[in-house]
Amino acid sequence: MLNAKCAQADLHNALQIVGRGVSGRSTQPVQNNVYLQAEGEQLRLVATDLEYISLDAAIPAVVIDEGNITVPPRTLTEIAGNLPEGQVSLQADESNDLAIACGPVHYNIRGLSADDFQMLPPLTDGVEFSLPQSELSEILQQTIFATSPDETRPILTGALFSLAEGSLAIVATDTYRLALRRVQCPVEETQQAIVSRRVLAELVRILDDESDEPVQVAISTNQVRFVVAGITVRSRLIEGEFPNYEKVIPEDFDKTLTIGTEGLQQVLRRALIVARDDANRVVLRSTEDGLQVTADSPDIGHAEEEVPATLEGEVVEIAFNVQYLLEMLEVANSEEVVMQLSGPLNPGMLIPAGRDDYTYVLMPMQIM
Amino acid sequence: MVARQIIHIDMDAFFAAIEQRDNPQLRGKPVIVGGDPDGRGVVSSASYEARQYGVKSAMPCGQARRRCPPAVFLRVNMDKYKQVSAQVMQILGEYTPLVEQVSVDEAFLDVTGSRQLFGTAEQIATEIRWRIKQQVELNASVGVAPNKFVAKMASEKAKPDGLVVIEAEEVEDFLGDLPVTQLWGVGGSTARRLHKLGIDTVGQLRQYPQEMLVEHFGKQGRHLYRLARGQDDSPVQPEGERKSVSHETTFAQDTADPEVLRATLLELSEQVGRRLRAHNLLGRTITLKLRFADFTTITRSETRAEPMAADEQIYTTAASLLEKIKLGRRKVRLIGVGVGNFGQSGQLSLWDTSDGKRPPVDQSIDELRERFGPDSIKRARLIDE
Repeated sequence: MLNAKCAQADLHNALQIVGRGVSGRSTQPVQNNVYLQAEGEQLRLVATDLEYISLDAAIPAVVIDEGNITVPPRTLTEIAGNLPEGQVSLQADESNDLAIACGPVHYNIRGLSADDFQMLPPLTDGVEFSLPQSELSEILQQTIFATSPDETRPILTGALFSLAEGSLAIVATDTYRLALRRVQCPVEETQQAIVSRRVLAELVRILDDESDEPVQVAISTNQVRFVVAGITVRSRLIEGEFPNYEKVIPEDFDKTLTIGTEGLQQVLRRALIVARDDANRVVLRSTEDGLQVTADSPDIGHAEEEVPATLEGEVVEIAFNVQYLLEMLEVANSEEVVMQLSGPLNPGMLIPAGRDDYTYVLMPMQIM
Repeated sequence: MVARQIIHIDMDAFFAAIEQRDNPQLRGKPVIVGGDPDGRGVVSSASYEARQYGVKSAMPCGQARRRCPPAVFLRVNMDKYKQVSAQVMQILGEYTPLVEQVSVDEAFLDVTGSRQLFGTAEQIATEIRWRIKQQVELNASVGVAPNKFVAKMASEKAKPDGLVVIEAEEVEDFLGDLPVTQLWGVGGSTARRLHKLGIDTVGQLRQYPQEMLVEHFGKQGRHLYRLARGQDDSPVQPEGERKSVSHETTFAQDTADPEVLRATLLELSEQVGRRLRAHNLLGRTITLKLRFADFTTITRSETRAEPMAADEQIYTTAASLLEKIKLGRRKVRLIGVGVGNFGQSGQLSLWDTSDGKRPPVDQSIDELRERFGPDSIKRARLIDE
């Protein structure tokens, strides 16, 4: 029978992270619970939907008796969050009740036997490497927004991790735009994996932007695993073949615009108010010393503004989905962006000025 | 305002009747059009002979076979039915541009302005029935009334192969004996609450003053008050003016069960998808509507870059909208799905369809194959070869 003591803050933090792995939709009640296991000098917490995500945290604990139990995550998280600071005692009994005590506070909550709790099978034969937390966080934020929300094409709801020749490329696309981020990665093997956006979004929540502590990454043929700060995020890979992304990255341009990121964001946000009514369409036209942004809607009206820009090459007239532009600008992490274009119906490219590791390709809209 | 003249046309046992028309050996026999009786398919259409055995549409085919062992089971041949439907709609369009096709076998006509050219609504209805018999060799049941609601009730009454005309002054008498459950938007729970008040028929409902109904049923009270009097202002909307296609349903019992909500959503998504495809429409905005037990109503919508008509796309989008709503302890009384924002956005794609995205129609075909077997649907090019 599980009997252990741990710090209230540790328990609450771990539950807040792990609890998000529960889908709440399983037909087996035990799978909607969080699994607790006391072993060695740790309390381990696991939640999984058995489909795409498994979250696993280990916190320091004084283990009196080893054992395990499962309990409803919401109840336990709420209790942990409201307990006074200090040591919490957790004690399971034969009828699968969990007694929680902290100072004068006592709870007895109904759990379920851990015997039937299923976990994702262990990851074996994976390619392993590591990346600093801050860097992985930036990479993911710069790509996963371009995944598709269309669940009828599961492949595009995830990001591709492609390892080859000592470099890792992370790619996401919804077929209208594509975000590609490259990073050096001292690994010999070649490996491809498509990881669900939901899992990567959870990982971004866990990662610390400020920390350079390494995240251990392992990729096998059917699973991916990230380990950081005592937390293990695992996921089954999305099966299928990712579209050939290299083929759609354009190489020839006859116009290059350099624009201040923040100024462009402000102009586009204002244009969005009108563009929203016309499928988010904004038209960009080059002027003497800038770029004119317009949006038109038969029902709402007209918006027009100019943003300073330097243009090399031909005159520009092209329409884009303003939301697609804004989503990239938010994560460009650069004072200026460079927009490279050719014809009004050809793909355009947006990159942070002075960086060659981040590429955003987007298809225009027809000017109507 | 001039009293309106609305016609509701409902084809009798449409799919089954077409099959009987095209194959004389099936005439007079129970015919069931639908999915595989050995699989999990459902009845799409049952001939009147089959209905005598208690077979109804949407019943699992296995159950239909148990009820009606002599029945001939046929698979859905939607292309054929759509062609026949187009012939019927063409006839209707000759009498007025105000034709609202509700589904493949059902339409409303507003013939208020057609009198000078074609005679009274009753004359037009009679002529339409005769022409459908002559030209398409099928039976239609037709209702004529001052509004859509009563016209639909009238065509129901006319089934099979009949015509029922309800004049403005006859509306109240006509509705009086109908059970309240037949009224639009009255589901099981409202019916039970009405029953507790001693109201079972529309006539009894009419005895209640509006204030009392509002007191008991909130906003819905006004709706009930109007329906009990056969009042309905909703216009006949021809296709071109339609802004969205939606379906909604009121639960027999208010529910907070996510499984029930999702299952209902799937059913509604399929209905919306079928109607979109029947009218060759594609929409980019999916709207989810929820009405709670206290009658507060919320809507949530999502707009995609590319139009969609596949059931699964509609369902997954609506389901993800549902997931984002914090239900808490609130129980849901009504759920609805709509698709709007028709037409292309002009957003270009990085891959052409040959190696990129599957067109939605393929997905529908996939689903048909999954439900009715791999041969249930084929490309025209592959037939007869």
